[in-house]
Amino acid sequence: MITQNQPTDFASEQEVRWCPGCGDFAILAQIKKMLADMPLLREEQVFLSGIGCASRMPNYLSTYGFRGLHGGAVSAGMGLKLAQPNLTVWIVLGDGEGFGAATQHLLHACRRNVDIKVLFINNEIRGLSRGQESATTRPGTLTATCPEGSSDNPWHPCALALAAGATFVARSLDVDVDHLGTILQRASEHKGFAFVEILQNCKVYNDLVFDNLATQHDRPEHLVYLEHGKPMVYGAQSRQGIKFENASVSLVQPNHTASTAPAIHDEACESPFAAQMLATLENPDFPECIGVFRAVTRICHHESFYRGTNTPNPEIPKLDLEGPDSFPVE
Amino acid sequence: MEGKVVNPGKPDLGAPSLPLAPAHALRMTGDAHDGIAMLSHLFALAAGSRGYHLYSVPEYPAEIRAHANTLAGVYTSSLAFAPYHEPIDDRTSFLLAMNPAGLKLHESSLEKDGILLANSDSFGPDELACAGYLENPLAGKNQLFHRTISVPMSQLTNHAINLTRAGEKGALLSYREVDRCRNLFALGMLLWYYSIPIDPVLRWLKQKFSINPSILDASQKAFKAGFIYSETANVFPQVPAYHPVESLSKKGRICRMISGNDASLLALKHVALKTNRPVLLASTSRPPSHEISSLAAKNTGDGFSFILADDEHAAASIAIGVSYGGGLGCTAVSGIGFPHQSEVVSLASAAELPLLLLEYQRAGISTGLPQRVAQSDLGMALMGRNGEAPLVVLAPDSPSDCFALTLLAAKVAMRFLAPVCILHDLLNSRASESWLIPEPESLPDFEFPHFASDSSSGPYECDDHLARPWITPGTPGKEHRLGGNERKLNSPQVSFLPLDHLAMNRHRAARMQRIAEFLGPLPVSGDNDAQILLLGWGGTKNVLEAATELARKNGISVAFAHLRFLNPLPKNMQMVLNSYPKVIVAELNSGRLFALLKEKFEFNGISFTRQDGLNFVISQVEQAIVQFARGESS
Repeated sequence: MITQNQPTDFASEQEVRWCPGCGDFAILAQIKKMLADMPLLREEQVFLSGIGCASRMPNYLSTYGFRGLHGGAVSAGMGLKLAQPNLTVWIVLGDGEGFGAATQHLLHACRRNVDIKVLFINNEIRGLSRGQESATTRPGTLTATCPEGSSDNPWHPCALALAAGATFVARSLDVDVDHLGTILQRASEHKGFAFVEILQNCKVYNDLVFDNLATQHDRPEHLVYLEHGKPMVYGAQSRQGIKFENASVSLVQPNHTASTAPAIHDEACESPFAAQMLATLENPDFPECIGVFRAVTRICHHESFYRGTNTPNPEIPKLDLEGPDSFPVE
Repeated sequence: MEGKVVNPGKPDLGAPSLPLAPAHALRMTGDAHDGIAMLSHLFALAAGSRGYHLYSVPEYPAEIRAHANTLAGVYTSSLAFAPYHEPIDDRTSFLLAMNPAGLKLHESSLEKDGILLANSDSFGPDELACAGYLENPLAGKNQLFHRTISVPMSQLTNHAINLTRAGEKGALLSYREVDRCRNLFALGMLLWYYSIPIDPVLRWLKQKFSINPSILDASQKAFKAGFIYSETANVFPQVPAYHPVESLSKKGRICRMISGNDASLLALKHVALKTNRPVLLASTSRPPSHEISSLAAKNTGDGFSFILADDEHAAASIAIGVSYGGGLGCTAVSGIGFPHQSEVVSLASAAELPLLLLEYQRAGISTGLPQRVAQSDLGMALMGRNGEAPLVVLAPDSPSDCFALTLLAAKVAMRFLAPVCILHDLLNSRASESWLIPEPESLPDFEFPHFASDSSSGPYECDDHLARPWITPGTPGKEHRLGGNERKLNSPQVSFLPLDHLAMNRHRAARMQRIAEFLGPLPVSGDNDAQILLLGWGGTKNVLEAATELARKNGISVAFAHLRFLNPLPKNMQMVLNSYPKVIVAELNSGRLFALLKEKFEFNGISFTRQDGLNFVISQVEQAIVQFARGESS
């Protein structure tokens, strides 16, 4: 039975132990709010994670939770979904784990359209192990293992998920709670693999990495809020927009002429190509995009997996020990 | 001797009413295109119907598609049949060589008075050169064996089928299709030699090729021609007199040849049916574990499913996800894939979830030799984890034991919520043997108290087996958190306190002792006052047992025991080791079990090992027993 819940009903008995000011607090609050607001059965919500700061999330929620191996949560979630397809399976990954030990599992889950919801909490640093660079750390970042600044090129998480075939890809911010709440709801409702990148501030090891997006005042100047069917514009009075031109993105200042008209966002587009371009835009040359990049429908992994073998058997199943080549002893 | 468990009888088949004849080892060898696998399968089918007990081991070429008639492309099936469980020795009584390369590889194994039957049509200059023969070994001054029977099988097959006008305009079959029936011609000859009725084969052919009358007709003609030719041409010098075993001849009993992989799969399917819980096997393509993967993929349904994962860590992680969801998560693994799964085993141990690892040992390190036999992963299974994360380790002693032991392993995993590893080797997974199909009512049930979702206990409170209730997601009102973190005993509270860690370590160790009680003692066969105990484990049982018998015939008082439970060791292990003045521990590795036993127990023993990728030879083991008994080795 679904009863009216409050977000506080979804707090577990465990004491929350993140650093003061950590962006994970806001994310946890929005997860609880989403769980309370949506018509979901508590016992059918399962959160899985591995090792990392963000991976403590399942311990702090009063749903079913499983905190396993560094890099193992995606595949464990896949197995859980095969055992019990009715469950809603959430995976919480940090960028260190998600694009470290879990990368291969993650990419294959994308292509198989496993019906799990991955919350990819990206602070561009490995926090729990005290500040080493991850695969999303931007060049020049000073880390415990790159004292002169990281020199490697980072991955764009949403672009990679799109390239791997994810059917739902979105990005949000820890500090934009309303937007984050909406995106979590959308992910929960998506049938298939959902990848949500949440930009999150690590107060201790990578503070202010998203400083340009931190305040409500600054955000409109640096962000495009993607909305399906609407023009992609940003800045005060939507004075700037983006459009696709010659397989790349360019900036325009809309002035009611066809050549300056911003592109209309189409999250249901079959091709992920445009979404991939949007997912790689970065300040300061371009605005960054948040919202739903892609939401398309495909058959889920557990549906295709059980197709054929899951047809109801009218007879009581019996183990055939004899096989085709048994013989009576004459 | 007090406390010693004695099991003098042979299992399952009962005592034979006829005097024991030695096992007859038949080896069929040829090129990959000679149809050796089908020939061997049909021979076993026919001989099994007659009541013989059969044991067969295939040897595949390492290359996927080797050049024709080269040594690298030889496919061999070795088949022992006798009125008893008897092992295959390296001595062959009858060698069927369908090409020179097969003969070249196995000529040394044929007994001096053994029979060589060869398809002389494939012993042309090119084929001989490919095999490295300078002269024809079938005839003339270079003839290898005095009992060589050289038959132009390809030509005779062609003649037998030629009513179909092969290759001519309007013919129903091509020359190639006709020539491929030569293995059936050879089969007909073999069945005549051993006085085995041909009806089971004819029935099989009719069923197999019912949709292709031309092939059916050609197959039957070739097969019958081989049988008739043996008689009319008086090919064989004498016919051996073998008799089927009485206990197998009971009317109404159904038998089949079963490989270890078949048996394991049947057991997993039985668990799915009996528990009404999903049983899922997740594995990769790494050989030789890929063999059960292919088999499983073709046999899904009724609660059993299979998934090919993208790496071993993913496979084991998928499996543990299934177990967390209330099913039995299984994974099949080989070689260096096994260490990849080590941390998942640790997680299963910490989170107290069932996990079934079907581990397929192979020879070699790194890339390894998947075609070669070795008991190479005992050390990894017993010790290969960080921290004190125990893994239950079992090893089947024969192909058909894979059925019983997989059922037992599943039972342990689900009853104790613990990871269990079944250590296979090629002698019990790839090999096949005759199997009296058990009565359905004799199969074990899987009713456990902690299956009930309305358990009044909390998710962390242990029962008298030291197992917590298996409460799975989806159960209302029982929401809880599990994982790899150390926690307080009987509590969800994550704890880093030393005393809690100590309590959990002791809890996990105590549960292993409960499992040892559940599994039972080690049986020993032979005299209670024997001077020597021969101890082995895994798929070498029939060879070791036969060596024991041989030593006894030669006047040595020797007992025999074979471990199926390697961790935890049987509770009577110490008593068994101390009951005999001398112990020989035989295994196909550098002496891993011996080292383990030496570490744990005081006893007088030696390690007898083989590490070249081959099985023990009965005579060598027997020699070791004799030498040790006489004090000639230490």
